[in-house]
Amino acid sequence: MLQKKIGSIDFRVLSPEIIRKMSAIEIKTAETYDKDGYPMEEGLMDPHLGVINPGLRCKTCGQTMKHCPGHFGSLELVRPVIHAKFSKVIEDILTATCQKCGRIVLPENVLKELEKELDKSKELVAKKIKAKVKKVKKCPHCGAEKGKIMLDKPTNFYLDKRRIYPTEIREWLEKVPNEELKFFGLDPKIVRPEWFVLTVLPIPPINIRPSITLESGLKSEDDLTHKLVDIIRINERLRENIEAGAPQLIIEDLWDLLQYHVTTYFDNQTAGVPPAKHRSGRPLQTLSDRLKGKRGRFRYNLTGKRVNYAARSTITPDPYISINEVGIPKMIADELTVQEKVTSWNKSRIKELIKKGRVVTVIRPDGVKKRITEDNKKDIINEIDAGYVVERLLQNGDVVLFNRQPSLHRISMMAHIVRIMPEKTLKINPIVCKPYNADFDGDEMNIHVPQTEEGQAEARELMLVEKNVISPRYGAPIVVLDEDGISGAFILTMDQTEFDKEKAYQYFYEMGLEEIPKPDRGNKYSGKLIFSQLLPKDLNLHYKSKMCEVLEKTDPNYKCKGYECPYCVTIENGKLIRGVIDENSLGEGKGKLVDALARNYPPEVIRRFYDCMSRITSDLLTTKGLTVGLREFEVSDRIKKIANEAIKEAIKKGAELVKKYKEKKLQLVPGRNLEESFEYYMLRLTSEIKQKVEAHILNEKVKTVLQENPELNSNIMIVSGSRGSSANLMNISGFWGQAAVREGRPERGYRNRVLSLEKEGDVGVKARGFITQNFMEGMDAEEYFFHAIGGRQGEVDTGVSTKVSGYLYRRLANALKDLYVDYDLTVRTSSKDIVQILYGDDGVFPMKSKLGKAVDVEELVRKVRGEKRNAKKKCRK
Amino acid sequence: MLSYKCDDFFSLEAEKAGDRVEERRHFLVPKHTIVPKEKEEEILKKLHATKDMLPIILRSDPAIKKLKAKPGDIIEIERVSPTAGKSLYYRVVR
Repeated sequence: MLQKKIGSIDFRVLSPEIIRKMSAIEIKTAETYDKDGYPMEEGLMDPHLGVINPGLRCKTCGQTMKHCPGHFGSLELVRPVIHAKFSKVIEDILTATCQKCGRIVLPENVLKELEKELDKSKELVAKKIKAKVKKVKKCPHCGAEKGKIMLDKPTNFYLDKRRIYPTEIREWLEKVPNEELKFFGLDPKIVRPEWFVLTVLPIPPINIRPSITLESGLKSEDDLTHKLVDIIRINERLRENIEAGAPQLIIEDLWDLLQYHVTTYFDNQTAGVPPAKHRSGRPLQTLSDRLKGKRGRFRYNLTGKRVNYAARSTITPDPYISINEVGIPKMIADELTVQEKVTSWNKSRIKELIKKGRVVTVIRPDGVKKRITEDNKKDIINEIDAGYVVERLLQNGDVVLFNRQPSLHRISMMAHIVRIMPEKTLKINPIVCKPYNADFDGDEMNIHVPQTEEGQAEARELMLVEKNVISPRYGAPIVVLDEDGISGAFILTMDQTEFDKEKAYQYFYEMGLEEIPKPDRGNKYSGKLIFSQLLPKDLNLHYKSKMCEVLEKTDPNYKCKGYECPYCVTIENGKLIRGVIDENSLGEGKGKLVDALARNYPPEVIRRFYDCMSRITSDLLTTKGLTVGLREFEVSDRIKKIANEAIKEAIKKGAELVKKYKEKKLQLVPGRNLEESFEYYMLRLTSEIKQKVEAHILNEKVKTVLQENPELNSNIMIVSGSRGSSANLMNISGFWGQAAVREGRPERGYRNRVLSLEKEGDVGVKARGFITQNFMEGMDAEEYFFHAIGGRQGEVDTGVSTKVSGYLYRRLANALKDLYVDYDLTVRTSSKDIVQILYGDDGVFPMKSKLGKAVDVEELVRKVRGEKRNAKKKCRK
Repeated sequence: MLSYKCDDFFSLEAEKAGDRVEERRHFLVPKHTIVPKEKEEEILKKLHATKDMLPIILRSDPAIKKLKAKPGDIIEIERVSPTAGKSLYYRVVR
């Protein structure tokens, strides 16, 4: 392919000469169509400006609509007007030059001096000139007096408080010599300042302002045409008035009006000018509106494109389909098509498809497309042969790309296998919610159908969900069971859980098991045994479970027994021997079990694991029932006593701190003054006391999970790490603690106090938002208010941070979007310029890395030594 | 990874030599060296690139001010990397 490089691009200002030269016709009348509906000669719809009706030929170039690019016309303005976008430059030139001789009002030697600096910084020189010119009263070249220029935005100029009109300004600008233009950043080869004052206006071709014929037969014109009609009309009126010798006042009024229309023609949002409105009161969309902003030409039409072979609908969950699949409504599947080449191998199948009406078009080897209808069906079935291409409707087993915006990382778009289903929503397995960041409160997602074999193969090999379980962002699982999935796995693998044969067989059936194991608990199956059926036979793992961590945190008497620990996970030869499966096995970023399955086995293994787990857990939770009730948040009198004492302690110790603070005897924290130290101590005091109580409450609740017949409630969720934490428990059953505003205690409000019911100057615990009550009992008005302050701040923060990070992300993504890693592991731009010598400095593909490291050395040593367990005697964290 | 004492910030020899602060070697400024002309081709071949495809560094860049590099020279930058230990980077002087 011939490659060409763009050397440079110049942006220039059109000179009146060029405008006239490129004009196909001079527009002279404001009327667009005559009585019969034909475009007026020399009007805005003159056929010389281009064709918009198919079949007609352009009067300028003789081409048809498809080929005629459109042609500019021109309008001679009776009186010149200022181009509002250049008024700043005009102001700079007028203030710096002499009206009589046009030269910069600085002595020759000063100018020479400045000329030398020009190479360094044009902006600096311009600034210097501005400053120096201010003091000059007389032109050093011709001796004429120098007046003061004032710009009344956007287009009115005053010279010593006398209004100067565009004619005068234009004459002035004409006098500025070419040699001195460089001081204003202008190149005389490209632009002359007098061109900033318009004497002739280019009329854009009709292609960019097409008129629409409404159903009623009425013609509706484009906003630009409306604006141009206004300009021409005023131009005509101004001409008539001047020719009739009207009083100066009227002429000036009309002149200003012309100026207004030209200004709004370019930019209808010019500051200080009321926007021109349509008859209906809607502001007109003029030239700059067409280009500007999110919905403008650049961001909407050029950066953003629309595609074919795509569909969009609301998503709903279906735990009974595979993570690799997507449920596609029949209605969508009957609309989307895929291209398939006809070969001697699939010929009969495709003929069958045509018979069934599942093929929309046939493309002959010579490229001619034919739509299949009832009438030509038979002929086509006879005609079709290898070399033909058909466009057939989507069918089960096709591959599609599935995407949810905002597409923040590569796994926001993954490939799924089509599964056509009734209903009208797209269905996904809830396990893939995490990577897409989707939920089912009305989220919509998009499908794209890859059309070529290459695209389909790429999607299947690289983008399929099962091949993206490990996140390329941090080298740990991202496609994970969440919330209910983890709770379900936890309940399934608890020591207490067992199933009778009937239920166990159901689960074995859903796993597709061929050999049914013998029951291990008399006549019953333990949950652990059922779970073990999902693991590969050569899997050996041992690690600390979340439950063990929780127990360690809450119970001072508890000690993890390492390999013998009944809560830590021990898997030997694909059998779960001890331990419970919880967040540390399945969770995002830390699930050791799924990490091992996804990393060390072919992708089918993790897929089967997830598919079965999503079925079993959802069935388990619906049959056993995982619910939340108020009762489980009630605490014993012992805890209540502990909490009350803790609050008393906080208030007492707080008062002591206040006393020390008031007497200035407080020991300072390094880097903080007295006040800051005091605040630091107060915050530390309340959080320490809260933590103590929190551990007690958690301890009590964890015990309920260890019972013979545990209740399936929120305590399960906290211990397994699927949802909620001891902090939530504390807020409901204990007390809220310190209400924080901007990471400190609330302090603003009334003078020296937050609320009017406090004493002035009280900086004690209660006066600065320490909340001693909980959600179960409810807070009193004062505490409720403090709580609301913190709550409101949280709400505002989430709003701001999504906005800010979204914008930052957009900037980054736009800057980096075309970079790619080449085969030699260099990072390059689309023009093959090198950005990074070796990808990531180490050439490691993060998706295949272990938490960012290229090799998991520990694991490797273990494998080489043939050890089934970690060499150390402790549980691995 | 990056652990340092206050003394590490600038080399003492540079201070003794009376260099200005910006010219002393700061421990966070990686080592810059000019690639000898005869080695240039080898590097470009390794990178599958021509000189105008490499990232640039200005002649006036404080890190290479003392090297007196000419436009067109290739600068080798030796960086300490938390993942790779040591990584090499190349820039063309402009």
